[in-house]
Amino acid sequence: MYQKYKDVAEFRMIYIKEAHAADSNWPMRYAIEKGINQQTNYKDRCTTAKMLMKEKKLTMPMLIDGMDNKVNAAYSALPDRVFLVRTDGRLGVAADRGPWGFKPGLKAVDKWLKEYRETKKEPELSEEALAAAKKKEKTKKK
Amino acid sequence: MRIGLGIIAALCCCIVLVSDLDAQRRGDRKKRRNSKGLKVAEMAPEFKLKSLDGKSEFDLAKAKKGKKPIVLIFGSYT
Repeated sequence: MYQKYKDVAEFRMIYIKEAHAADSNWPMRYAIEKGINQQTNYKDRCTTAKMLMKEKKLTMPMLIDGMDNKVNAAYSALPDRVFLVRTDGRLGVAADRGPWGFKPGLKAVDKWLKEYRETKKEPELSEEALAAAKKKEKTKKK
Repeated sequence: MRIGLGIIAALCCCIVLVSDLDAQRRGDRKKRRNSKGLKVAEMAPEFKLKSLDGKSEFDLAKAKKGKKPIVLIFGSYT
């Protein structure tokens, strides 16, 4: 997808804390095999991220979440999640978290960017979604 | 005979009720899971993060001004 749409959109992968580290309560088999524990420092997180990029041959620019996991928390992203940010700063796609949301999220992003490329306009937000978001923003301000 | 039929009918009703409740519970669980966090049309939380090589910093607020939509993919090795 990055290769397909990098001319019309910016892409960033954000490396967040491990979801199923070897030393977690719910470890993945490959995490145990490769000895991937939850990182306790930023340098180790970068090392594992580099390992991922190399093994999966990723070319997308990658950002690393801090050890305070602040960005992960702000986006409620664990274990994985896909978003598309419109140029007005609103979310055009906000997929569900985890395996049930990741692939549908990528599909939604693909659909959004396809339309954007064809029409040269960002797909409009539904009135209901926009009204609900603005209502939430007002409540937060109070 | 009638009593037997009555018992079977009552059992059937119970099964339907229990499966209905279970489906409702599953639906509620799914709704809760899906409603967690941000939704379409909400403002994307701003952040600044360093790139993997540590040489640059990505600032969402500045990147938005670039007039290109931004795809954010969160994940980890595991």
